Amino acid sequence: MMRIVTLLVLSLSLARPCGAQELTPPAQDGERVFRQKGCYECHGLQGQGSLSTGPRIGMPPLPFNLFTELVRRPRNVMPAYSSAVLSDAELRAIHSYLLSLPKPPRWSELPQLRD
Amino acid sequence: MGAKDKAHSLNRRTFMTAALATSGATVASSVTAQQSAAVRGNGPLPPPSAAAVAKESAPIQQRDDEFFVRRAGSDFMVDVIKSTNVDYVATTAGSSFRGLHESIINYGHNIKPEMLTVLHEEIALGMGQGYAKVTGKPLLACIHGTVGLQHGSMAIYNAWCDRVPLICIAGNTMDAAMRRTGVEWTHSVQDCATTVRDFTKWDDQPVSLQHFAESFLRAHKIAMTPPMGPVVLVVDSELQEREVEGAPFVPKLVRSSAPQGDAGSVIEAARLLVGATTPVILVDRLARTPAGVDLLVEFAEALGAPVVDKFGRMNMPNRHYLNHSERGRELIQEADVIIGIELTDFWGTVNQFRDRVHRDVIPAAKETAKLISVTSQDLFLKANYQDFQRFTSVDVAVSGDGEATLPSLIEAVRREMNAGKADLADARRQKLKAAFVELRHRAKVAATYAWDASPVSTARLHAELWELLRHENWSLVSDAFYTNFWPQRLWDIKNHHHYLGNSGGYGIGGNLSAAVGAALANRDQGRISINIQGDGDLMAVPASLWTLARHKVPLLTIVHNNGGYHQEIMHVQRIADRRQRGVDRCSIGTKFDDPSISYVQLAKSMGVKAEGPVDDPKDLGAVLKRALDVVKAGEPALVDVVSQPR
Repeated sequence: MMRIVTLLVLSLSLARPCGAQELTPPAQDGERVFRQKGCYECHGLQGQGSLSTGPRIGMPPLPFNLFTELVRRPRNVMPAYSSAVLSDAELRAIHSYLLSLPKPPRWSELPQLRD
Repeated sequence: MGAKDKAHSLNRRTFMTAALATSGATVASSVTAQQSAAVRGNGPLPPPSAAAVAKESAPIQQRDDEFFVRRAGSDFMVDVIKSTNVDYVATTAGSSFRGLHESIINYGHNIKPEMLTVLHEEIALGMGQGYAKVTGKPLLACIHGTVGLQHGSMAIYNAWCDRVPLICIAGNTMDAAMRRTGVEWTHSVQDCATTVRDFTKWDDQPVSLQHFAESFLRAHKIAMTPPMGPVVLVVDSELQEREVEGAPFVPKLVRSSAPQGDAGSVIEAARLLVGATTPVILVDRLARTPAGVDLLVEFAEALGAPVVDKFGRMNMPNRHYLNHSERGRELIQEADVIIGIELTDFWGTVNQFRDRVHRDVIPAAKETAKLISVTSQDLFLKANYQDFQRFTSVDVAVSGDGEATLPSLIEAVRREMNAGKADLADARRQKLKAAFVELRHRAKVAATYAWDASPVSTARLHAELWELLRHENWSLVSDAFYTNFWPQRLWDIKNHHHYLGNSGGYGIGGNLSAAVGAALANRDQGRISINIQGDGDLMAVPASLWTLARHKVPLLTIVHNNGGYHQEIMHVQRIADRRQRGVDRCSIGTKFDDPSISYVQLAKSMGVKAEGPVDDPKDLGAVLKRALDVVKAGEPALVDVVSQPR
């Protein structure tokens, strides 16, 4: 658990600042694969997650090795994606895409979220 | 008519008499020649015979009762219906209940009940489900007994699963000697209610008007006694259309009291709960009325226990510090005593069933945790349809309606509470207050992800909508499951009418149909209704929009336009993953985005003002405001929002 937390903290520093919109070619390719393979169905188009279908996987994503492990051998009810349906290169592209997504705004700065 | 016209007008009797007068003796001798000429087609028709003239001009001997009915059986039926204070009858017109239809609109003056014109029986019956959840009383639906009941059966199933009262009158013609030839035979059946008997509480087929009166009142009583549910009355067309015979009367209707749990099991439950270190309260279809909400709050506060709401109804105010629905899994894992009140699926709440190649079960609760169930479901089950979920081994089974049992349970908890246990409860309350603050913060953080995304995130949609609703008198009449329960996480849900739950049977078309009925009920209470509407569900019953316009029902429908049946896409994807093939082909048979459907054109074609599609979240606020203004003025409106799947 501590290892995961440490890795998460490290990956936070890699997240792109809020507001940056342009995607690098690998990230563009990753977005295409993310949609094509249906990852967005459970995790949302920006990997934001959903209560009933799948957790947040973006903003920021887990480190690539852990990310790969959980896609190939998921812990819970997520179906396993073998390399027959999702190659290592495609997985890396998806990870690049998720890494490229901007940080969300602070809720305290959004009037729609005030009490 | 002018004098000239009168002179030339063909008056049959005058003609016949004149013809007789002028033809005289020449009639007989000239008939044969003239007839021959007529047959050959080159001569005038012969004048009529004396016998024919006499028959045509003789005074009419038939009786009035061969043409007229002074007091129709269905008039009495309306008297019975009115005695139960039914406000509306939703109908999809059918000849098998033409008698009752006419009596409602003429004899009954179309007042209580007022007839609602609906273009599909599934919608008519679905409206009843939503209406009853707002008002606490049934809507009446009148439909054809054969094809109408088949059409509407899914809506009846939804009401059954959702434990909602609904009274369905199905028209039929029992006497074969009385059926008109052709379609009336196709629309007649020996045992009409068999189509739906497995998911109704009761049905009958009265053979006399007095029988109808007693059966209608009995049907009302049964539908309204928890566990509530739909009932069907098959009403014969002849009984409707014949003259009333004898002196049928309307008996008095007294509702049955809701069954309560027995004293012994209530005391046992209270003892376990008060003695617990980490009790948890699970609720689902508990609050049938606003009183249910108040009772649950009182119960939770008395115990100092967190509530996990499964949202089958609005049960617990979401800003109450004891509402910990978002931490349900964690709380169930830690609990030593769990009470489930009107839980649809107790087993599924305390166990995790994993949909894998080899299905497995991971218990979600401790093996030593004590389980208490309070439910009326144990009092009335049917075998065929399996909506009753998996069997749960509990430690105390209190058989009774949850809302009706709570007062005695609260009293028992208070009696059981002593100084030591009260301190324990108080310590729990303090921890729960702190945890609640963190929960609220986490929900808002979660809402910010994909905040500016296109398609629009469901969080952003709900946040923009809340900004407009927060000072209005509103009611959410749709199921929030498909949009992540954002209302429960972001809005201020404190009144019973703020949320109505789900369709029960998850039959497609159930959401919109029920939304129409609920909005109708809310209109009479001066509230505006909000419906976050799945696109697939809408397309199953699009004619609902017409009924909204026709009857001026103020409902704001926001189409959650994600272009497909996403639940099914995920299912097919799961199978494709297992088989390691074609995960990128799962939109075949599941998506409907090529061509995209214009919900705006669809709505406008039915008289509903509409705007969209909106795919930029920055535009949402203004578009939603315009639509809300239409609804506040008393009309329905629709906004098409291109949104994320969930």
